[in-house]
Amino acid sequence: MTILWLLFGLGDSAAALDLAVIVHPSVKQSEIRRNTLRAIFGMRMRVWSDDTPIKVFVLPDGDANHAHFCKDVLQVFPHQLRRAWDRGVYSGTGQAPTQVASEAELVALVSETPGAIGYSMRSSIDDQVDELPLQ
Amino acid sequence: MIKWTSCPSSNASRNRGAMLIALLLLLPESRVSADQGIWDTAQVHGFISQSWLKSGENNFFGNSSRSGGSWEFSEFGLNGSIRPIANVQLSGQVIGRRAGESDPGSVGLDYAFADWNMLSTETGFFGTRFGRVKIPLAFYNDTRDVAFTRPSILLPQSIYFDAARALALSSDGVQFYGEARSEDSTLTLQTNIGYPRVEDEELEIAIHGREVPGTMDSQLSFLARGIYDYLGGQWRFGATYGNVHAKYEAKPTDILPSVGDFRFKPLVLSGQFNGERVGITAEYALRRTELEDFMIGGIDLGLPPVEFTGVSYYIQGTYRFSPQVEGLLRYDVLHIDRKNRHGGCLLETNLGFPDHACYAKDWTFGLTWNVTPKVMLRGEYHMVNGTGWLTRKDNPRPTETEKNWNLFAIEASFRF
Repeated sequence: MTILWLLFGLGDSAAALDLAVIVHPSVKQSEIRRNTLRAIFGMRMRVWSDDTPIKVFVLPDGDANHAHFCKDVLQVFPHQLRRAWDRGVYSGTGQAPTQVASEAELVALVSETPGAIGYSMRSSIDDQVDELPLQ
Repeated sequence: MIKWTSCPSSNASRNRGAMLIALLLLLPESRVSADQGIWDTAQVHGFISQSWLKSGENNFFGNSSRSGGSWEFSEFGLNGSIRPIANVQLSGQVIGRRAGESDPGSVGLDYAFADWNMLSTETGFFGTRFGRVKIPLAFYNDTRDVAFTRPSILLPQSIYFDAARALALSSDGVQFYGEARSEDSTLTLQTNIGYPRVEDEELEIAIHGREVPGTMDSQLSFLARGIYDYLGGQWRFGATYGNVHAKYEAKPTDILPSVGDFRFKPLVLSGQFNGERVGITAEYALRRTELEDFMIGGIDLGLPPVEFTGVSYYIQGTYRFSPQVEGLLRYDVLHIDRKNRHGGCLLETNLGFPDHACYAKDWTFGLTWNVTPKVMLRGEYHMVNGTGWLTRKDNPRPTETEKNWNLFAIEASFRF
């Protein structure tokens, strides 16, 4: 499996420890599978298990932490995620995530929006948001 | 020149679209959840693309063989979506397009539907879309008119042929969709049941060999696609099967032979690898066509049905030199009739086309530059042997077409 990761240039999740998935405190879930996270950030899964709408916040495509999140947490490439959003937006089957300029803004928006999900460096997380660990 | 693409026979489908828009505007405010306004979920996106094409001999999308080339390939789209309640999304898109003589300028409702996500769990979801829905054929068809979602200016024409493309655009009816997820695998299924759009003169020419005075009407058709996705899209494998049905109603002035009943049954197998720099995509299609009820002036000639199966495939490699710049190399093959691969197909035997109209083999070299996330520039060069996917209206005299021909194209596209 290690060879596979090296070959495809994807990091091991151990390298992702400095980056966390964050959610609004109203989100009841205590942990999440990686493939569910891909469905959420791929904008295919729209509601939490209690039917609260999911609101996805991301940093711009070129941002280093966005690339870090894609490669090490989701284990997909940023361009794959972009392609998935475009497929949804231009066929009407999905919507685009909300893109914000900075990590501080992203954390603030996740803390203010019920059902929100995003990601952040651990050092920027405050008690206004919850961390959602991978299962 | 701009016209509405709906011909008189498809007023019904236009009305269905109008009803959906009305539904979108009239949704009662009372259904809005308390803490989030309905308009907070609204999104508007769009795109506009312009191409220039220059070919050596045959024309593609306008008079591309003349010295100044052709500017007659333009596309724009505007879409909106909104989520009035958590598991319902309303979406609509209008697309304008001009593509040489075969599409001299049209604006049409590309999709407009209500999407009800009926069940959503940690391991998957299931839902239904009602209205005009895109046809989920193979990898690229759902967003075929959006340059940013294509790998090249022209999609591989063997499968995504732009001549006679109408039946592949969208259908009025329902789509059932579902997704099942496990650790690293995702299986997605979409099934359309409805009436495909048929408004297209190129389609008439493809079926009847000429423009016809009567009207083509689509019949209840179906198409289903499954995609297996491993490691978040690193590997994708798909299969599509459809049964698309259309009928022709002749007019008394219709004095030449025409086809009363048309069925198109495509089977497409798709595979893709997406690496950090390298991408490989291959698709293979068997396209069965069944023609029945041959008539003159609406009188059935009592001739036996004609059936043939075309074969199409391509393999495409892309290489990402940087996050902004991507190169493309593709080999794309079309045979109109797999039993008469290099001549002897119906086009040649019944309609007087040269033997090279029975196939096309296209080497494509392309380069894409994503100047900014919103602006894209693209160039590509095609070396083609055969004229199987040439647009007929751009080349009115088939016997004067050249067997070996080249096409160069550049495109600029903007989106928001």
